[in-house]
Amino acid sequence: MIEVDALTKEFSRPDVRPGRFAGTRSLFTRARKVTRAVDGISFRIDAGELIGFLGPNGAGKSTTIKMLTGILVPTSGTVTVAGQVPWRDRRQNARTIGAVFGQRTQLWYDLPLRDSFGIIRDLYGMDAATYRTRLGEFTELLGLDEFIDTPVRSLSLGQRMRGDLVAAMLYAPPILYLDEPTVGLDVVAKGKIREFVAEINTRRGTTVVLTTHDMDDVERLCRRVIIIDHGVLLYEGDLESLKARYVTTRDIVVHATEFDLTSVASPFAEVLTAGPAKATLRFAPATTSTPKVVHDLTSRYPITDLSVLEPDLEDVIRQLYTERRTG
Amino acid sequence: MAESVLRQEVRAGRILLRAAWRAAMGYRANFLMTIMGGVALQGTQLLFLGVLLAKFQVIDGWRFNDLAFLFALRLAAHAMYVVPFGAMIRIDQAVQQGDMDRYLIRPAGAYLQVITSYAPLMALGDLLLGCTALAIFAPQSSVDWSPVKVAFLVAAVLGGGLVEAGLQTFLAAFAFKLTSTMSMRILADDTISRFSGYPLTMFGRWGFLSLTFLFPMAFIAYLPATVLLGRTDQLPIPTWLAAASPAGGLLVFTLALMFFNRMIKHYNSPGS
Repeated sequence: MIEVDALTKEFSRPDVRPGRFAGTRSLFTRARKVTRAVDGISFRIDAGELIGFLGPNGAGKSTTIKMLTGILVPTSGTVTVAGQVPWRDRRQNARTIGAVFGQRTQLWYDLPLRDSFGIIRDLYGMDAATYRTRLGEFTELLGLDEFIDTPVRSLSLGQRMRGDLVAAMLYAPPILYLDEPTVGLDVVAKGKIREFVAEINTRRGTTVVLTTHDMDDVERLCRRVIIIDHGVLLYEGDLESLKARYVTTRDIVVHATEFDLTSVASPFAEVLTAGPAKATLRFAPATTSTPKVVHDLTSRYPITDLSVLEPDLEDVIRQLYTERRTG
Repeated sequence: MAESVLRQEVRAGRILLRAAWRAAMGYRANFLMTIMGGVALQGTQLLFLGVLLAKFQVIDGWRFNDLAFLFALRLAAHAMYVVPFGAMIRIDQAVQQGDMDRYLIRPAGAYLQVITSYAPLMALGDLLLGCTALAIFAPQSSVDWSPVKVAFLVAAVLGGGLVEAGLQTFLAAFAFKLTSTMSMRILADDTISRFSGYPLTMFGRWGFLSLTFLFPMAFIAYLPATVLLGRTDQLPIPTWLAAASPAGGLLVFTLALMFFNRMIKHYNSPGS
């Protein structure tokens, strides 16, 4: 469905050294400073996949997505999406893809949400019946009823994002790109959006490429992830093996109200911090199962509350990156 | 294939324009004020024009009534630029703020989406002024009107609009590389509105030739006016070229549009 080979994107701007008359010199300098945002990455995504595209800020995620969507033209390398070169076959590509960019709306700002949908119906030449059915389904799935007649400029972020999702999926493109669709949203809105994405992926077989910093998004939705940093591919594979490989320890936090935890100890875990009411211990899930540690602690101490901390994505990426640098 | 793309573009243009006008009318007070403001502004222009031209009497052998006609022709041509293409003024913004992202992933031309991105309300004032000026000054000119000449006049007005649109499109295309083109475009607009309504041979032979072939402002009003007034003997170029001036607009615009589409590959979407 999506094939990326040795994809590279460089941005260049005038190279101005700071100092006197820097502004004036910037007008005349011929020196250019080239930054390579994406540096020769290759991967493929099959039809029907729901893939997480991850990496820290400035890793080159958005640049890559923008090349996949045809917004940016690669400096070198190739992209083909459903057999087309996105930036060359823009018109055809537009019908193949839907895109939601969390930071920026695709809707008509001054018109009611419903009008934006109508414009999309006309632009993509949808027939009235299909449009009605699909809009009805989506409205129900995402709960658009309350605000579909509100001008987009008056919508909350969560409402707008739901509107954007519908706009991207109305004409049923086989591929959907989501660039941070849950950033800044509350729990309910996030939940609705995840539900919708899962639904269109499983029921309609839409291929989804999801960029996010939200580990929850990834864990709930993605089977496979691609991780990049500094424009280079760091990992491509399923989430479970990623964790098994990079997260070798897990932390457990215990609380007690009628017992002093300062002297807490366990044969299965190492104590990281221990105070009178709260202690944190670390264990290796590969050698010791979580229930075993939990059982050991709860049977020996009067513990009132307990939680196992899941590794977060940023940590995983950091480890991945550090490992790569140190060889 | 080419025809079907054209048909798609016309259809998309209609859809997007309707949306732009509906959006503009959502701000009712602003809509009415802007239109009234546009008309008032252009009305004072018309008065000023009368005063100015009456003062001069003769420029480069042209008498008042013909000068007024020439100027009216340029105003009408200008309206044919600002009404359909006026939204191009926001090209820098579209590039800087990333609206272009959206235009590049919809099934319509990026250029079409730029010029239909909003309804240029002020332009309605220009249209009113252009039509009024032409209605007043064309009959008073020394043109010996016939159906053929009226048809030529209409073609000239449309062609003149396309020349201006072409020049502005050419400059707007640099937005993809330079990000900011506002001052260049204002300079061009200023030059056109200041000089294109006068007999350009007043700048001498080389001045005239550069305004014909380099910055082809002469095609906007001056060349068609010389044809209508039978003054082509005054020109240092062949008469057939002046007579073909309405087609010049189509040529300039087509080249500019091709250039614009080529420049899109330099677009660096913000925040990537």
